[in-house]
Amino acid sequence: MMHDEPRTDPADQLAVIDSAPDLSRSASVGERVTGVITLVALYGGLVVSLESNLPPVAGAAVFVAATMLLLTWNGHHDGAARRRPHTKVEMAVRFCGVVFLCMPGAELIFDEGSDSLTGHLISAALPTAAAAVYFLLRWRR
Amino acid sequence: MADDTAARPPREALANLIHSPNRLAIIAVLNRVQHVAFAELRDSLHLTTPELSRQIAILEKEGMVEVAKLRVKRVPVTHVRLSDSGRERFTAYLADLRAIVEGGGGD
Repeated sequence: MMHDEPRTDPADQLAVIDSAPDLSRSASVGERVTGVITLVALYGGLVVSLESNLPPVAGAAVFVAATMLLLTWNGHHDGAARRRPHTKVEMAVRFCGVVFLCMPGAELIFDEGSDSLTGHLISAALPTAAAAVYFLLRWRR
Repeated sequence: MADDTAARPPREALANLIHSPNRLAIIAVLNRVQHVAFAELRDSLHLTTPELSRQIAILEKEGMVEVAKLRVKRVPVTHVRLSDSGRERFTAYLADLRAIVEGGGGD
């Protein structure tokens, strides 16, 4: 057990802080693989749905499913023990991921936006890329 | 000690609060993670359960940490995290501390 005598010297305090054990741990291999599968499924699912000209109800279901997928990952990263705290950049990127989902979402539900394959690929790529950047940032030590 | 710190300005109260090396070490560990299990914190700092409980209670009373019971595989596990305000206060305090030490102002 550590001695608990009061320390008022800044250098002593800094030494205690710097020598404190680092309990943070990075994501497991399984989590990383699942993350990559999620990204592939998100991108593929959005592109296929956009190309399929789904009825609005089915489009809304795809949009909700994609949103839930990203929010579930966000919740996982918030709730996982011994992970380092989020940085402001990570918070901004993950927010962008959910916001960018509105682009394919508007197309799926309201049939607005580009009808070309290129447009659909770009529309689906934006939220997927934001999610990928978020995952990569979180997986750093 | 906790009662003494309550009436002081936040920065001074924090300095007074973490003059204890154990509390300082607890905060330093928590500052590097989002949250951690009580048992892992106890083992990493080589503290006894009553001692860590006592220190956590003092820090919780000061609003520095938050304690939550989570269920991990149906088993209740106590987790501890720095509060948002606690993290901000500690970050500012740490910056001041480094400035003092690197500036040669430590007594």
